[in-house]
Amino acid sequence: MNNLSQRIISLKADIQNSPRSICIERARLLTEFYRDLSLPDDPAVVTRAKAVSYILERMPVIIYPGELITGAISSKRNSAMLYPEFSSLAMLPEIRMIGKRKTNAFHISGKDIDLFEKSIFPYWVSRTVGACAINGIISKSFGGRLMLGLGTIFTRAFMMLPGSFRGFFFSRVKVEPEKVVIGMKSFEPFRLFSLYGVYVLTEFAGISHITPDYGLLIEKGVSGIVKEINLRLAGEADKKKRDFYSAALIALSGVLRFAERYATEAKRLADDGKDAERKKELLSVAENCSTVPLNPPGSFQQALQSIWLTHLALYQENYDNAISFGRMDQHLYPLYRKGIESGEITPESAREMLQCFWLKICEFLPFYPGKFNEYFSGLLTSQGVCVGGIDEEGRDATNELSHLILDSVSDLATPLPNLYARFHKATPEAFRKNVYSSVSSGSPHPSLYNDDVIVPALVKAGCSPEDSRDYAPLGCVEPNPQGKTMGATDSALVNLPLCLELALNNGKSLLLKDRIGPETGDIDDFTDMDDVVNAFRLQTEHVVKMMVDGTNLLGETHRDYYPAPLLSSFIDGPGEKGLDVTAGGAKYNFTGVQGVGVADVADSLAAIDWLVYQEKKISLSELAGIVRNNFNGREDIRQLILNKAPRYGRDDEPGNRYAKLVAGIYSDEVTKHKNPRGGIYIPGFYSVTAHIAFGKYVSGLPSGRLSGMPLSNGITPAAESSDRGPTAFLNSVSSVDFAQAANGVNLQMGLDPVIINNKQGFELFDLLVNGYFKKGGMQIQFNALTPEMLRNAQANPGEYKWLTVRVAGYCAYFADLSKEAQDEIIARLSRH
Amino acid sequence: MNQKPETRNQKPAATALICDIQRFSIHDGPGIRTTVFFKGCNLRCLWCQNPEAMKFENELVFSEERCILCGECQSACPNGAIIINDHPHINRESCKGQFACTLVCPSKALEPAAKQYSVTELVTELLKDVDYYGPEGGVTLSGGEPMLKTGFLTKLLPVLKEKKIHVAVETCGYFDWEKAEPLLKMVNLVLFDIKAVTPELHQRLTGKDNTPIKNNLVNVIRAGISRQIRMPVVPGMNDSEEELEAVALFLKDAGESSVHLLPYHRMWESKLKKLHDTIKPLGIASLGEEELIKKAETFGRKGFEVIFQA
Ligand code: SF4
Repeated sequence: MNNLSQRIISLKADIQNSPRSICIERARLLTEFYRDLSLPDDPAVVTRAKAVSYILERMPVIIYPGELITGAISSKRNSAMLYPEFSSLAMLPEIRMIGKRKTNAFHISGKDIDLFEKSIFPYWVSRTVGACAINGIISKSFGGRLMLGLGTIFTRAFMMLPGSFRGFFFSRVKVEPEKVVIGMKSFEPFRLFSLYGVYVLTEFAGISHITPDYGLLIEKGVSGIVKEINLRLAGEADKKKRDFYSAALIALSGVLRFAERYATEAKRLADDGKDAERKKELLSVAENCSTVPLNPPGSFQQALQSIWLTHLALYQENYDNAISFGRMDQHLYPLYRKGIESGEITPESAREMLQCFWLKICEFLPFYPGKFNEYFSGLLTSQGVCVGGIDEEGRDATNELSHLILDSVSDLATPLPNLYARFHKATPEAFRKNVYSSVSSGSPHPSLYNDDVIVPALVKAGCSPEDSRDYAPLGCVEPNPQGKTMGATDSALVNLPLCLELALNNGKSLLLKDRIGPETGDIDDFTDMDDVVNAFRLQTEHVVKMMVDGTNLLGETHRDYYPAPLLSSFIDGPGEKGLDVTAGGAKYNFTGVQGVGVADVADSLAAIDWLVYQEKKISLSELAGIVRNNFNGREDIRQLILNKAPRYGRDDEPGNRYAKLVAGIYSDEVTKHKNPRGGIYIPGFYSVTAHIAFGKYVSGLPSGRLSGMPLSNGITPAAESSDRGPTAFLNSVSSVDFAQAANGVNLQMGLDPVIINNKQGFELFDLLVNGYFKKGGMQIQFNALTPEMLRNAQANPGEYKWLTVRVAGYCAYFADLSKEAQDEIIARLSRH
Repeated sequence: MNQKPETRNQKPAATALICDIQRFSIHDGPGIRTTVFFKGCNLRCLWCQNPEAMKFENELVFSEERCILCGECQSACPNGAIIINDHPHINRESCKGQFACTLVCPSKALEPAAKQYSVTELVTELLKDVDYYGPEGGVTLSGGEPMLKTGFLTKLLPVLKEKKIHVAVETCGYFDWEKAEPLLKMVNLVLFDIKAVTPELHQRLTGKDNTPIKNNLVNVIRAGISRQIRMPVVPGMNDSEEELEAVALFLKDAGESSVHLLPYHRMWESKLKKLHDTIKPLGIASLGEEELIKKAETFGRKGFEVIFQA
């Protein structure tokens, strides 16, 4: 905190000391609009635009004391908004208990609970993305609106129950709209999802996960964008395109009115205020909000204000997760230089403004219904900022602002923004050093990205070299050409070790007690490794196909029911094509889906190969029997595998080869598929905390991992396999072919205090990172805390309330993590 | 006193017994290094940090804490040397060093202290980290005493040189100069340990006369070989004021003006119960930083540059 100004210290404390709560305003306004004011003849895109505008014109306008950048996402600080059209209804069963749950408790008033139960839930229950998707299946099958009928009956029955009973009913029955499914083939993708252990489809909850073109916003202002759309509208005859353009204009007008309301409020506060200094600040806030985002900003502060108000507006349309800021050191640099040269700002004042901006990002939380907390533990909104890297021509683009942003985030020590540092062959030494110093000071920021691998991966996925060079990671780790890509980067997570379990059990899962995959043969008939690998491939093929079918259905539902005209206005492509981003308007269209548990499958295959086919110690059937029995009574076999079989992470040839193979099989299956926006599916290898949640559904594995235990994290080798030291560890990881993994990967490395405290400090750090990147590593991130410190924090959460750690592609407060996630981080640090 | 130390492996040897190949070593020379611990040494320092590397013959290492009492070793041993009741008993007298037990032990509780490596196998391991070494890092040959493996090194060093890998040698100094000289001229850095200069003291602490060591140290300095002279400071053993002075004087006479001091650590004692040996724990506490700084004053007064190592 030593580098923080008094203003920043108190803003930070104000946010952190606000109780966590749920803000129901957006849900209320949205319901009001859709239920009472929407016109049946309006196309969905126009209705959506009007709804967003309606919210922006009415949502609370709050300027908090001391802030230089203003704009509140909801009625309270530290609160979560609700998106009833996406997944918020799923909180119904627990709404009365939410204030009391063990991790991530939220306050919600009795009045708001009533509103939710009586008004919001009944209206939306048959209209969520999930319900619409299911309804779509039924309409296709029966040609009727059966689901809508079901929803209505269901709601009526529900309302007849007395209040407290309702909570009880739902906590027991656990009915979720998307789970009201029937045993039909076309429901299979959703049936598998509802098991939670096969894959998770996240588009139920919205898409977001995108980097809007904030560079364009700064260059042209909303007025410039509006002017362009007007021109296109004037020359357009196609009704659908005209609807889209009109919708965009309606939504953009909402943004402008939203800004005007802030200008008015700032003026009012200035007039009422006593403090002369604050009065001056408020007047300039008022001036800023009446200038931007309408016009191109004239100053550094206005640029930040413009982006922030636009960003907030986007969240009224798109759920509050992982809309990222892109390359802020590039967007802001011209105005930064101008301000410094004219003397209007100094590096110190710019740093304070940046920190005011970062703190706005920390002001709200996502809300996950119970089950999803396990997959996305840590209350992350994963909004990221990128610094460093090459420019569109391939020259180094690192500048003073890259350093200033880095320092300002690191000094602030908050989980957000998620900070990404791009590295390439010619990244200046001073910048590298600054990054290492931030990481080794205990800050979980930034994570490091290798341009020399990511740019070719994006080109391979179909992006132009110039656009690929202008990528920015977003969300956890996903690199997309900024402002041009509808990447839907976090659409699904797939449980790969479960696919292996299916392969070894002819399509059945032991813990889900169900047939999941096709019959790929009895293992008694398997004669060599090819048979094993092939069965795994076929199971993966099936699971990926189901995941894609489900995701595509959800994608179509977004397009047909809840398009995103406002977001479309800040992406390159929709203007020209006259198409919403959900319909394929963006220049680049991908769907990013993550393979979880690469290391577990790789180690399992390596163990089978070694034990059964090389050493011939035991037959495949015997091994499978032992594994099914969770190694009960056969610890000798488990130890043999853990100690002597090849493993990914120990830099042995078979371990490395199998990791590459497993990642390759998943990638090949994924990239076969197309999304409804005309783009391809691309694979990523990061797991958020899904590797912990998925692990609960996977029985024992030939790798020696026991039933129900967490799987490996992202592309990180399993815990036992990092005992050969950091270079062996990094070598193993870099043997995976990352050119395929265009949706990004996550490697977690516990940072040994020995490295940090060593006299050679940064040089060692630099040698490790450079060596790893040179060998083809894509991404890496560090945690520099000591295990003792974290054990202490686990025991005394009160004292360590603000301790921030890197979880899996994002940062979180340690105290917000589930016990399992905490344990895993401690274990990770105890290795190496 | 012109005796020559015994040396082994004098013919170009195809393989060498190696206890460990430690990657990401950051204390045995500059940068990131891979350290090779050869097996066998002629000295018997009372505080030897790597007792498993002392003997030239391979031996059985038993890490009881890893044992899961599966009984495999008992059935595998052709000499009936292992009996398991509540915990495994290894009858070291009956053990013929055939290592059958280490092949079956699932948990690596039983392991040979060293494995044979050919030059090619070793080079393969050493090249794995070549992308991390950087301009200063590389390979450190340690042990045991690497300069006794002259046959093996004659084949190894030219390969490393050709790959432009920085090579450091960590030596106790007890080797045959004529055989070692051409090899030492091929390495980039010699880390030369000196334990004591007073002959009787050296004999008592290490079991050997130190004449060859002193001669070799002088030889290394005269030959202009890049070096670091290092002295382990072991409380109550070689750290008396007189001995430190004597070392300082000797080094000064030899033309050396800087010395690295290594504080004594007692971690090695935990290795003893895994080995079959007559080595006794010293029971001396590790040397703290402050005490080490005090010891350094003796050298400081003589105008030495003193460097502390972990
Ligand atoms: S084989 Fe290994 S684990 Fe089994 S009893 Fe012997 S020493 Fe213990």
